[in-house]
Amino acid sequence: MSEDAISKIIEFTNRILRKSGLDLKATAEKVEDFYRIELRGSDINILLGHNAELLEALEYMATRLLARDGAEEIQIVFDSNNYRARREKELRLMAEKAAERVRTTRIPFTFDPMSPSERRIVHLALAEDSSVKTESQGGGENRKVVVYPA
Amino acid sequence: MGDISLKEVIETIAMALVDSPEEVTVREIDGDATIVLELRVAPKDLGKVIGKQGRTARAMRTILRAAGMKLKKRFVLEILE
Repeated sequence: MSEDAISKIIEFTNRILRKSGLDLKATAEKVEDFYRIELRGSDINILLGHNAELLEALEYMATRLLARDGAEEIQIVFDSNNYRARREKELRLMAEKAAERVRTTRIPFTFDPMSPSERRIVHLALAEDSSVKTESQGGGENRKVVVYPA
Repeated sequence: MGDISLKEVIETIAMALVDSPEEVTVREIDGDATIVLELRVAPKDLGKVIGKQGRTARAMRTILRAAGMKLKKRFVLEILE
């Protein structure tokens, strides 16, 4: 059941990429409780540019497709060249720097808008830090993490 | 790559998301600098191609922008009621 759904996603994604003229190809790999959809090819710069908006768009389309087939319980993560891990590290660093600034200035710091999964990384990065508290503000695509002095 | 067709990209996505794929049509209007893609779906399927807070439409436009970067063209998606 889930193997079929994943094959369908790979086929769908590769068709979109081929018809778009992009040299990128998706393959799936089962990792613990989710599937990693890895994208490879010479157009990786287009894929990962602008905060990886194309990678995010392709992942979003794939989750819509799963929802359409009643397979929402299947977890997928689109990735390329370890982007997710690198981005997580970067976000943790940004969170620590923001916290440090808020501690010294006592002025709240507002991040640029982020996806739910990225906001989660920032909240978790500062969850143990008792000198600050974090909140998400704004709606939809404009939702941002704000760091406040505790 | 003779296989490239952004019209088919939008058709593929729309047909995968709607209840009435047979009512999906995409018309391509070629201008000098811009190619307009007009997507029509059954009225009841409109929400499915636009998505919550317009996210599906935005994802389609992101894909068109990426393809446009590679092909040095500008693609505009119009979703018609």
